[in-house]
Order: sequence, then structure tokens, then C-alpha cells
Amino acid sequence: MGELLLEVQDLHVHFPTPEGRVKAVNGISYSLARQEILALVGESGSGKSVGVLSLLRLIPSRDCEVRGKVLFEGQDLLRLSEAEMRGVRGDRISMVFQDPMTSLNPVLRIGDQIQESIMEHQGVTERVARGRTLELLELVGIPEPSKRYRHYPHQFSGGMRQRIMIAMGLACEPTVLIADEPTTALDVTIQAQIIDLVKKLRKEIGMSVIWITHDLGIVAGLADRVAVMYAGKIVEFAPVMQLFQSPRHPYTKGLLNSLPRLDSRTEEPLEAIEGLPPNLIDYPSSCPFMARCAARANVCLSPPEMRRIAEEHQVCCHLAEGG
Amino acid sequence: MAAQPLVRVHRLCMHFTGEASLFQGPPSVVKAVDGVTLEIQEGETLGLVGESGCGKSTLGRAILQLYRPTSGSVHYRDVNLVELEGKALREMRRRFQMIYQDPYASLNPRMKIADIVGEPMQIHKLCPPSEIRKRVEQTLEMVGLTPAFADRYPHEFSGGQRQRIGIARALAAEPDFIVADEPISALDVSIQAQIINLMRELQQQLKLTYLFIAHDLAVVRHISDRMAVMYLGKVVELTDSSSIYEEPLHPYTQSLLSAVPIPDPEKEREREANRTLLQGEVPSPEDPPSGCGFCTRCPRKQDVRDAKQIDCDVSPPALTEVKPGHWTACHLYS
Repeated sequence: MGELLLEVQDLHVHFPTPEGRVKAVNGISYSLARQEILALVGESGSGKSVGVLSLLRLIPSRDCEVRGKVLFEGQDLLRLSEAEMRGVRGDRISMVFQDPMTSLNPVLRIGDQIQESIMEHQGVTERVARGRTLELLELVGIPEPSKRYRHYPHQFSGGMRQRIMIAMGLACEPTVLIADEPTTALDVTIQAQIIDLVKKLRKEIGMSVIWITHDLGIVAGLADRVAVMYAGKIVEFAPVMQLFQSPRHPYTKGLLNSLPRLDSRTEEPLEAIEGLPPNLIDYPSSCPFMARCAARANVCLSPPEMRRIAEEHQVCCHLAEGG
Repeated sequence: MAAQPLVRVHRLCMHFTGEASLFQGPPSVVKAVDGVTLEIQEGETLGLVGESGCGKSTLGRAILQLYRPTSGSVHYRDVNLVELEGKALREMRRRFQMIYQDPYASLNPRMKIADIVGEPMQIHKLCPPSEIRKRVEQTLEMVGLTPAFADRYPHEFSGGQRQRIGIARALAAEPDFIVADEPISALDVSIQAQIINLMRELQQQLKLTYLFIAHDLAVVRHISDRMAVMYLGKVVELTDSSSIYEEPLHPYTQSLLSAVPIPDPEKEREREANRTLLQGEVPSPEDPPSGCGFCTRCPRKQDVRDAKQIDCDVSPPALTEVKPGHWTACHLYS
């Protein structure tokens, strides 16, 4: 593992609402090394998006309470002033959002949108920024950049727009790229192109990536390490091989078993995980997965702590065995 | 299978004509489904896969006559549905139902579950009004919901539960044939398996025939007996679900399969080495290529030219049976 770049310590994000506090993220800790691709996997409502949005302070502070530490290059991002934070966001840490249809400004030419962040962060002239923008469009595989540069978002297909979003995310050569389900809205053949692109860029410009997804297939082919999230907690954290070959948390096992696989076909019914994730307002005092867990025991009534069961393999379950 | 097919689709076309405009010349025609021929056997599940915009949903709807096809025929047993109108069509409709993709949009938020599921029974007069309530409760139990849910409204349910209600509504009309259009793609991974298992159980119990439309190849392969792959309004390959993975013939099927990630890091590493990444994007169905629809992205185009002296840009390949039960539309096998 390379040099440590980003460290999240005991992050909590709660939203006070008229119905009660929504406990979206409940004490997650992880680290990201240089050039590493870390995958955050989880279902809707598991807190994976809120967890990274709050790192970049993209959720207005009047709407939520954030506790914990986010150490990046020796600074705690949660304690920076808004002006200092603007210097980090889009420059050293940038983000690619899920939906390319709504994240681009429909009334601005795409060239101007990419150029804006380069001029803002690097203080270069428009001429220089334009040259850089054309290079970026070429890098992400937009044909005829000098012509497409002048087009508006509606003139591009979904896959093209997602490439433009990635170009924008890369505009200032960030050290960390956070990608929130960047391929979920795309077709598989386009998804394969985007994944290929991100892997190539990781090598070429040496960036680290946090990739949020619900698709374990993508994780298998892309990530170095994986954090599995459930009800606002990381329930298992391991290098990708270990996670798939010897999953320890019952939820991870359940997820892997419930997937139909392209490479093997059985007549057996899939092993579904029965029940639903817990209500985040009325958060259980037990292990949050207990109600759906096939292996539950009395000890599960008290919430488990994250435990290291092998070098680099951590599990949040009372019953998980080491080795 | 010697039995007569339940549904026979012959050269079905569904073209949508845009509005004529004074300044833009003649109206454009989108050929969403362009000459599809296939049969669905009684009791089987035919999976229909393809990327967005390939016409798979339109084909499903055109089979059910939710869109009236531009040309071609759809036979349900001996009846040509395309020729039916009005009351005769409505009566036939009871036998084929649809399950929709979005369980949040497909249930009327102002109707109680009892009314949503009871409505088809009432419309088709399947039982006396006094018995509807009892049958609604039975149907809910069949899809794994408690009868007490009948008095609630859709917003009180999770996505998975709503999809079960959608299935219950389809079953209420006692159909033989169900078109399921992406029934699980709006659901979470751990819930998807529950719905897939439910659909398979119901199929065995009620002898249903499914047309299962989805973009997720692994899911479709799991649930289907046979699979059809669509590209740009046409079926490019049709065979049983094991052959499609083990020996895909059409270059599009091959690249589609190699693009689907498999949840196994070791396998992924092996596959990455010989993955054929498809370049470019699907051409617009308003202006499809004149020859084979896939020729703009096909990695084997040159091979066809060398081996067969056929120009894929010019002559469109026909869907032909190249092995027993294995159909494909590609010049490589002509």
C-alpha cells in the first residue's frame, strides 16, 4: 500500500427532520492511499453517497450534523473555512455525479463549463484554459473536440455527457476523484468504456479514486479495496480478492449469493436476503443487520464493533471468525 | 417442444412518425421495431435483452397491442391480435398482462391496494362483486403479502413490496402470458432476488408464459429458457440461455457479454486481457445504417469482407437458423 492520502475517522452524518433524526452515516472510518481505487458498495439508503458528499461539505450545514474527522494532506476538511474548502473542491478532490443529465448546465456550452474550473483554480488565461479543455475532451474520447467544444449538453448522448463530467472532474488533475455511481445510468458497453478510461487515467496521472456503486460486478473488475456499507456503517472492509473469496459478514455473503451470475446458470432459486433494511430514524440498538441475518444469536443484541480479523480485513460482526 | 407456440410474432414493425414541420422538411420516422419475427412457446420464459433504445420495450408493448403495430402480425394461439378492435381486443387483453419497470410510477397513489388489484377482476367480470375482496386477499397472499395490506395506499410500501403489488394486479386478470418490462431494475440488489424467485414460483404454479425484458444479462439468463438479443430494432441472435453465453455467434452478442462485469475478481482479471471493448455508440434509429445495423461498431466487418466478399454497409443480413434452434443475423454465418 502506498502513501496515505485521505483518512476518514468516525464520520457521522445525521439529518434532523420533523419526524426525527435520520441517522444516515453512523461512524465510518477508512483511508485511501495514493493511486488506489477504493469501492464503497451498498444499497440505496446505506449512506454511501451521503458519506462522500459530506467529506466535500456538499450538504448544506443547516440541513445536517456532521461529526468526525476527514484528514487530507494534514488538514481536517471539516474544519476548513468555506473559502479554503473551495480551493480543495474541484482542484485537489473532485467529484463525478451519477446523473449526467442534471449535473451539466443546459444553457452553457460544454467547453465553457470545463474551462471555468480550470480558470478559477489555476488562474490561467482563457486561451491556455481552452487548450487544456481540448486536451481533456480528447483524453476522455470525445471525437472532434474542437467542434464538440462549442456544443450544448443536449447535443450529446448519455455516455458522452458522462465523459464530459469526467473531463470536468479531471480538469485540475485532482489527487482524488470521487465517482458516485458514474455508470449506473449507462449501457453496459458504454460502462465498459468509462471503466477502462478511469483505469487508464489512474495510471497516467496517478490519481486515487473512490468509486461508489451498488454493482459488485464493477467492484470485482475495478477496485483494489472494498468497503461494504449497510445502514450507515461499514460492515466489512477488505482487499477485493479477499472480500470475494472469503466474505465474513453475513450481509456481504448474502449479497454475493443473491446475484444471478452470467457465467453459471442454475435452476435453483436465488438466495434472497429476506426483509428490508432498518428505518434510519428508528435506528435499532442491536446490530443493524440482525433482523435479516440468518446467523443471528443473542450476542447480536448489542451492536458489534469493527474488528480486524486478518491483515487488512475488518468485519463488524460478533460472529465472524478470523483467519 | 412439439406444442404449438402461444405467441407468434411475424415481421412486426413499429415505426413512429414525427410531426411534419414547415421548415424541417418531411417528418422523420423512428424505426423502433423493424421486422421482428419470433415465437414464444407455452410455459416458457423468453428473455429479451439489449441496450437502451434498441426497441425491446416497444416490442413488448406492440405485442400486447398497447401500441398498434405499423405492419406485421402477432398471433395469440390462432387469433391475429393486430386485426382485433374494440370489444374483441379488450376481451383478449385479459389473457396477457404487463408488469412495469417503475413500481413508484405504475401504481395510482390515490387508490387502495384492494382497488388496484380488484379493478381487473371487476372490469373483466371474473367473479361476482361480493367475492372480489376475498379474491384480492388470495392474490396478495400468492405474491407474499399479507391480506391486511389491502386497505393501505401505495406510498406505505417499499419498492419491493410495490413490485409485488404490481405483480398481483397482473395476476388478478388470470392471464396466460405476461410481459415483464424491466421488473427488477428499479430495485435494490438484495430485493431483486426476492422478486425473481417469486416470478419463477408463480410461473410454475400458474403455468404462465413470460416475455422478460431487461438490460441485465445475468438476470435474464437466470430466469429465461431462451433469449433474444436486440440491436437497433432488430433481433440479432436468438437461442437457448446456455448457448448464448457458451457460444454467442453474433459479434454484438459477443461484445455485450464481454462488457458485463462478473462479480469475481479473478475471472475479471482473466477476461480483461481478451475483452473486446466496443467503440462508439448506437446509431440513431431515425437514420439507421443501410446495411447491417451493427456495421458502424462491428469489430468483424473486415473479416466478412475478406472471407465472404460481402459489404456489411450495404446488404443487411437476415435472421437465419445456423444451428438447430440457434438463430443469428450476421453475414459471418451465411
